[in-house]
Amino acid sequence: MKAIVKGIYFLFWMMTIPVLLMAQGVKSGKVVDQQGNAIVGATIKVKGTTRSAKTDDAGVFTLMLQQGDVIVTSSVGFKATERVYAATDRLLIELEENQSRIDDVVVVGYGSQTRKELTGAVSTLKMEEITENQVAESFESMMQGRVAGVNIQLNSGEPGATPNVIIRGLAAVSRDDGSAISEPLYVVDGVPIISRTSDEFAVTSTNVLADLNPSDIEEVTVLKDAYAAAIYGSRAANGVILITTKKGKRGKPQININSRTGINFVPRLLDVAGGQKEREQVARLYELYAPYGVAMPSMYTDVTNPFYNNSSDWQDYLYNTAVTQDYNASVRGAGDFGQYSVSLGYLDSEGILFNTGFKRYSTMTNTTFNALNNALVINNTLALSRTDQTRNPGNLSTNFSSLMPLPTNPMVAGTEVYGLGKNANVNDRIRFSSDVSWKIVNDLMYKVSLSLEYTRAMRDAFSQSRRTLWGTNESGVGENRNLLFQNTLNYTPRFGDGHSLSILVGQSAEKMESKVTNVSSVASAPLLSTSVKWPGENDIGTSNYGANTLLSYFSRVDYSFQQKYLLGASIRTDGSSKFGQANRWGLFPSVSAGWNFNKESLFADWEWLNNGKIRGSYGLSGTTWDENYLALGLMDGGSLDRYQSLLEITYGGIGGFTPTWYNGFKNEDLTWVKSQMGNIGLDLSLFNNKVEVVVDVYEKLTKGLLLTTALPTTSGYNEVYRNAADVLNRGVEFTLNTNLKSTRDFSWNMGLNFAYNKNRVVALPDGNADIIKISTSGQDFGSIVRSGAPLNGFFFYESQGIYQSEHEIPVDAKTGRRLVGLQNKKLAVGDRNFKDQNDDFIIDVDDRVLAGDPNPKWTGGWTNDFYYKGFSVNLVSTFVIGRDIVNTELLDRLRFGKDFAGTSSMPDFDRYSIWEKSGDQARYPTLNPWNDASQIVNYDSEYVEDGSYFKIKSATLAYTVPKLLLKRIPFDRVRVYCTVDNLVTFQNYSGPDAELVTPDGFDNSGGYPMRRMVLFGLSLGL
Amino acid sequence: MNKIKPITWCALVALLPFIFSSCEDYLTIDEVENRTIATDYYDSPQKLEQAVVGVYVDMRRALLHNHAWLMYGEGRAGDLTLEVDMMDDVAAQRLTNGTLPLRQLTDWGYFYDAIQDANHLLEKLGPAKGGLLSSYQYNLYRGEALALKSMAYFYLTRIWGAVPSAEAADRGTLLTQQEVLTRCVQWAAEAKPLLPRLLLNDDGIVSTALTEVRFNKTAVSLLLAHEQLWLGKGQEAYDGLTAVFEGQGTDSLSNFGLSLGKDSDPDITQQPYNGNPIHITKEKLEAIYPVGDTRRSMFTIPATGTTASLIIAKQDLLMIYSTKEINLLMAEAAWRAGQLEAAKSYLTTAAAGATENYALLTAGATENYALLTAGTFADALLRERQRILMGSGQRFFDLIRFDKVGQFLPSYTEGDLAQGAAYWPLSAQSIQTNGLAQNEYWSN
Repeated sequence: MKAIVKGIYFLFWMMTIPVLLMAQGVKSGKVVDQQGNAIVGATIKVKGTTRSAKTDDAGVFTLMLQQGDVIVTSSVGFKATERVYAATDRLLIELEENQSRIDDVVVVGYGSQTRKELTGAVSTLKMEEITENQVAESFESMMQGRVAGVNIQLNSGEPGATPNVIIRGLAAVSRDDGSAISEPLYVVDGVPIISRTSDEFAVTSTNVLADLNPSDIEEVTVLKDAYAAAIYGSRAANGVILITTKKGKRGKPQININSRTGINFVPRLLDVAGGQKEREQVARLYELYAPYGVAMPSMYTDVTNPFYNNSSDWQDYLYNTAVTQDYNASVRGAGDFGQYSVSLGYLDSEGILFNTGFKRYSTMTNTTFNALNNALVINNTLALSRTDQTRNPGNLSTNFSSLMPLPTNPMVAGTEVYGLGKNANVNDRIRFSSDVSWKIVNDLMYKVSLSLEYTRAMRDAFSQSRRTLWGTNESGVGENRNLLFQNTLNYTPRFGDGHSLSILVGQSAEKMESKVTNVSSVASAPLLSTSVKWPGENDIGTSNYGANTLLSYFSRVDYSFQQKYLLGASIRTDGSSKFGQANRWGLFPSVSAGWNFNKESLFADWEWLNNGKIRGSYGLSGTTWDENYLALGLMDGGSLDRYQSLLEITYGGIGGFTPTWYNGFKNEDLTWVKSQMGNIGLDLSLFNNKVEVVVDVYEKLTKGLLLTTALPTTSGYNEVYRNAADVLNRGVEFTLNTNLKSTRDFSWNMGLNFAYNKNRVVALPDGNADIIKISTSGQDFGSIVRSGAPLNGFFFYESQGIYQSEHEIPVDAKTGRRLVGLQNKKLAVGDRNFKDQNDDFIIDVDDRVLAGDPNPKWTGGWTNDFYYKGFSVNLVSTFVIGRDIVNTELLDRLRFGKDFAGTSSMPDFDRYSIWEKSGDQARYPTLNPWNDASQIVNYDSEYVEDGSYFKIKSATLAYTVPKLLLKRIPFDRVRVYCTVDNLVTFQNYSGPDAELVTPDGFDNSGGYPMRRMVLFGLSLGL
Repeated sequence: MNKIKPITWCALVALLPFIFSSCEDYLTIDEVENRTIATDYYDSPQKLEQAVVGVYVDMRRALLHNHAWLMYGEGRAGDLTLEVDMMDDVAAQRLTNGTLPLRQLTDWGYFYDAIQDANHLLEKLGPAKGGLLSSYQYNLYRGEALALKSMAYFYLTRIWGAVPSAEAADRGTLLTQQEVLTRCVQWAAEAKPLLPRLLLNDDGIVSTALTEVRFNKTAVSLLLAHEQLWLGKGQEAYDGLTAVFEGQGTDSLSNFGLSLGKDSDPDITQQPYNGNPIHITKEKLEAIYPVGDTRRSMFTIPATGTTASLIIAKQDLLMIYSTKEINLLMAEAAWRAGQLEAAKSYLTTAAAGATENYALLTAGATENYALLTAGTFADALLRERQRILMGSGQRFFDLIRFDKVGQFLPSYTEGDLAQGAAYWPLSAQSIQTNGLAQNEYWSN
């Protein structure tokens, strides 16, 4: 019976198939994008049937089709299209790129999620377009102005300097305190990397992250709220930046070459009184203020002095147009076997200042092998890089008197500006990681990864005194090693009617070690050598070692019902060797919920609403600090003298040891700094995904920031580290993205983001008493941490102008004593009139008032991309509004000591309102170089300026050569472009650049302004 | 969920040890190469002895910085002068003048460093008893730590009056002078039986050099007697001194001073006597040491000029308790115990200058102390203390103990002294960090 049925069945098919074949034929076609590039791996389905095909490496597919079939074509990153098949059709299917990112997969901590299911505040940034147009030493500076709530400030113009990255407000206390790290955690392809070197082990000042070639980065994800970040536990309170590197894609091997050359132009420089003007100004200061018998140096008075007639333009000599070159090449591909990616990069960025610059050599390979029918995926990454920030010995000053002859002057032929020698700063990094993912059964994935990272910073400095010919050699090596072992198990079942679950459990163990060795020697002329010679007598070297371990267990559960209702919870516990036994473990939980409300039937008619989600989260995350052994009570072995040799204590012929702790009074109770963060967000996609809006409101309360607080002297110590300060950051973030396409040829993408953040200290120990840090002499300014005031707030002396006459100086009616100025100065006419806030008739630290806030209130960016045929124009701008800064740059130049003549350049006094005589309505008090105490003080409220700025950071004009023109040359893609970087800055600030400021608000331009670069680039794809 | 094969289960089980292999030990860093953690540090007698020496160094800092020993003593009393900027202010009692050295002198930090370190040492000595240390070592180190702590508090209360406790039980509590002295007496009394008359060196041989710079039985007995006398317990002091010194040959006695040597703190001078002679005006010299008093030989008296300078016999020692003081204290104790005759006898012996340090001093004072009465004894004793102990830094404390500040420093009225004028003002830091108020006199 069975045989008969089989036979009939066979016959039926034998007869039917030819009939079907007559009606429908095997057709081949090609799927391309709007630029005509083949799309690999696109799916072509015939609606209502099971017939489907995928495109091959050339974008070609074959499929059985018949007249009237509805062909549905889809591919990741493109909008799906439907068309009715007509037999006469030439089957070239063009897909439009999907501007909406709602279906994107977003990398999150230890995994990924679709954007639709995200419940945390997560921003992603595709780096490809950015790195193709811009050149930067490090990727952070390229993110500037592109992510709401991420405030990135380049605080120096020197190539290779470290930018400040602050996510959702400052929550760290700077000025020599233990928790000065407000940096986010950086994670590359799932592995936390070494992103900075602690001060104790720092050898070079180069940005540690500058050795990551930005061109190797595919995407950067910023985890901003507690739910997104808390899975990284004790290091997540300042946000987490996840970096995904480029991998091979299916299709034919992609070979890319990107070569560009930039010309760095010198921006506006300092105003300098040159030649005669300097002589006049020096003469004026002597005339006004010099004590009897003090005469000017002869170069200012003696017309026969060879320097008298000089008018050297040092800035012109030392700042020069420089060239930046950047070359990147890569080969990437993928197939059933896995994927591969190899890249090489070389960057040579010359500084505009004499003998400065930055070079980077980098290579990275990444390979993935699929085994056991894709159940086992083995992934290996090896990245090597070297950065070189070699410069002159000594500082980078250009502040030389204009009477000093330039080295080009025959009078001083052969001399050099900065002394002989060089200061080589070389950083190396090796990063190797290997992971194995094993799909145990469907939906259950185990992953183990091991990574090793090693960084080495080397500084070799040699400088020679031109006077004594003695040479000083210094050599230092700092090493950091990280070893990380991670295990995760991921279970992602889907069941029932749209229930999906994702459960993650994991463990990680990390050991971080640092080592530093420094040696130095001084050689007399005959021994002049650039290597350190070991003398017989004194110890000349120091070395230091530190290690800490971190052991973590974590878990996260995400639940989604029909992608409509979303719930998530995560927990992590971290144990660190930095703490005493009792406080070793910290627990960091978080919860979140989301509602894709557009899926409710209520909104079904709202066609303009493509997606709408409300999400909220709350959780705890932590911060840690540099010091490895702070809580353990290290014994102090004595201190080193200036020759770096140990001064012994002797007593009665016996070596002594005062049993003290190295870091001050030992505090075994030190514990994690924890941040509680709540976040409510709204995501909207409107008008066919042409408009995207993201709004987030957050509150972050950071508790127990580490501060040194004064101890009663009865303790035997002056200070103790305590978990002392609580800081609150509250803010709103707003992002608007639009993509408008008016015709087939023209489109405009706009991105606007801004964020408001308010920072204040909310609690301090000992009944919210101010924490005042004053130097031991009691005269230098320290910082004040005050409850209710912002962190790093300017507590300055309140200026009330300048004393124009003696009787303006207040007199204590009770004692008859006159007001005493700063540093016990007897006040005189022309001195700064500071308000004696507490009426004690002495101006001292108690008279400081809050005079400004260096924390920006508003930060943001505005990007515009215009596309017309092959042309594109791209504009990136950033802004900061509502931040105060102190123009220390100018103050330093106006502050003259009694030996001022001839030692440095002078600003042109005519440009500044400087007091000289009674009645002068001036801004700056007397410059009297012989004053008991200079009246130009940094902590003068007069010099607090508005630090807001709007900067067009880069403008790019690019042209992509059309495919048609490429037929005769072996390239798939040719693009030429020109970018102007640091185009223009609009600011109220009177100093050089309102961006070149330290996080605590002091001008940091330090003679190194930000260059303006014109970059020409050619990008080729094979 | 798909069915999991047995082999897969086995593999999963094999993975578990991997995941949980990491344990608590992982969080203990044992390769602290160049760092030493306090809990493991004291593993040899040498290290404990170094720590003992550390406490002496703290005391040395307290007394040497800005010539503190002299400023708190003869400097403020106006007897001796040094060519330093603050000298005029100190001698003129302008102690709240804002100059840095004076501000430093008003700070008691170094004394509390010594107390903190002594307490740290006492804590570490406990576990070392019977194991790491021989009983001689244990007794010596414990005795030294107690005596040094007692001495530090004794200085504190004599300089500032009421001072806070730095003891674990009541840290920060302000103690009256009476309370401080009571504690000082307890610690010194506890140290007294622990300390030997003469110390042994590493080879087990008696070393006079070592004995001279470390707390020994002579020194702790003198310290204790001083403290008892401050408390007004003359009889106890007399009994204690008699028990220790009666019938003792000079061989078993020793001076006690702080050995001068290298310090890692660059602000601490290593040679306080070098290059900065301690002067006395000739006028003052004549008033204190009349012609014929052989103690004038303690000074170099130039033929011209208005000043003489103190001769420092041992430049490598800051003398704290000289054996010369034994008879002075015996005299004082006897007198305060009501035994005037014995007191006069001790004073006469003391004034005769039978000490080894100043070889020429045989005749001593010109006065005949046998004629003293109960009414005149105190002045004579105070005068002899001034003469014999000149340069030791005790003068101002003596004036307080004998209640003679107003007599010798007439600028202070009775009212001033009642408000605490005899004590030093508190530094701003002491006030701020300890939550204290400035001494009533100095706050005005």
